[in-house]
Amino acid sequence: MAQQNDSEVYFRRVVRRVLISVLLVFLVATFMIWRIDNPRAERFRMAVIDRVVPNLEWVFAPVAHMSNMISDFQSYSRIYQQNQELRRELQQMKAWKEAAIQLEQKNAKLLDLNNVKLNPKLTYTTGVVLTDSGSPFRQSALINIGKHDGVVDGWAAMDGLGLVGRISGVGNNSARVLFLTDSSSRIPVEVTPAGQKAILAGDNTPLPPLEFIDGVDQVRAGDRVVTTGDGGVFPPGLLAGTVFLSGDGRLRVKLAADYRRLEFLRVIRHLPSAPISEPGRLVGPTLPGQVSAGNDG
Amino acid sequence: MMDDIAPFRLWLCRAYYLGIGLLLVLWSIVPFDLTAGSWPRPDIFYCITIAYVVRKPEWAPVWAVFFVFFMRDVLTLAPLGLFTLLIVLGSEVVRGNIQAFREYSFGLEWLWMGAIFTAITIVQQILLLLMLAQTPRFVEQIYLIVFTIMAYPVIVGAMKYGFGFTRPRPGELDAWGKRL
Repeated sequence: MAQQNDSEVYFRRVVRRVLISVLLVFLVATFMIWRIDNPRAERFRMAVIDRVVPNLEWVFAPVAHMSNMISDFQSYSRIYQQNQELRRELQQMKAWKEAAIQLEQKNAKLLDLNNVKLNPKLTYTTGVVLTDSGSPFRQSALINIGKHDGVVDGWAAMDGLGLVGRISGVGNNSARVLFLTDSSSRIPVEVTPAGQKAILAGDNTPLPPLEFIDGVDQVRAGDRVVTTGDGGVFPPGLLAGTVFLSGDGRLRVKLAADYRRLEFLRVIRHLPSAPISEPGRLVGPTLPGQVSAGNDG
Repeated sequence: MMDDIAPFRLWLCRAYYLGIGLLLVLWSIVPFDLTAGSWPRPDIFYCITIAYVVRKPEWAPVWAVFFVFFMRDVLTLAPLGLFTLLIVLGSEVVRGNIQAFREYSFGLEWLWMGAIFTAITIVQQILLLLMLAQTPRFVEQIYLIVFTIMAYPVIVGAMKYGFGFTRPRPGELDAWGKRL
């Protein structure tokens, strides 16, 4: 009996050792593949997430809703103060509204004079935020629309007001939005009205800095920052935020999108215009028989 | 009699471990606040894993540790497999020296748990640097280590007084009726 027990224990130990070695080899291999063939590994990850997360929507929705209710409840404690603030803001808004109406009328007249047609290409689909990235080192969110809804990698995502990020990773029923604040996010932007081009580079802080500004001395705090559309990544003219001079003397951007309250995201449908890859060619949509190197569409 | 009851209870306890792990992974990806620059949260499931391995190693088998941490790597955009690899190694170090850990006072156990977590984080950082991959910021990693170490006694206390989860006394039998 004792002998049998001993051999059983020995057998168990050998099986364990084999199991652990297999696990370790598998993990090392996964890590190497993740590093060497990153796009493929990320596609695998997106496929797993796409399989798992949309089925769990019933978990996330009530929990996130509860936390919103709690923070709403906390705001009751300073309701008087908020009321005062809102009144003041309303007063200011009335003045702005007046100005806006006048400008709108003027704009309509000018557009009419010019016979301008606004670009009807910029339509959008709306998705609900399912999850965030789950670690403070990555800034991203998962939304509940994907390939089935025609979402394509690289499209811009906005909340009602400002740019939030871009689509990076698409599954069948979900897509990942990489925020402007993520440390791997680089967006070509333009500071208006100065007209200076720059790169909006995320660095995991709420206020991403502007890098490679053409003329730093011409940019002032409070200027608007919009996308340029360089590189065909984003449509031009999407509002990102306003310039902000931080304590360390760097120019940063106060984002227009409210990241604390992201529930719905607009994904802007955007098909980049045909690239001009060679001289003396007719610029136009790519014809079926004709494949050019620079065209990724 | 042992053979009739023990396997069911054993698998139930393993299911608890897996369930807690997956719940914590889901909890970490619920979109509470999407602003950047928030404080890192302590790695609670690491603490729970070490506490399980020291107290009831057969309830947290290595494949369960692997499964939960691998799912976490996949779902939270971490480098695939890296943290899982280090945590499997770390938990196996504890499991291999289980007798020594049983005789330690709680303070010593806490010290070891902190040392292993620090080692895991540093090795992770070095490996990512060597592979020229993007690394998390060093300061945030230090906060993560400090918070995790501070969370450990709280979690162990909750497991002990909330769920009656104590270290086995000398002479106690395990699920297979074997002396621990």
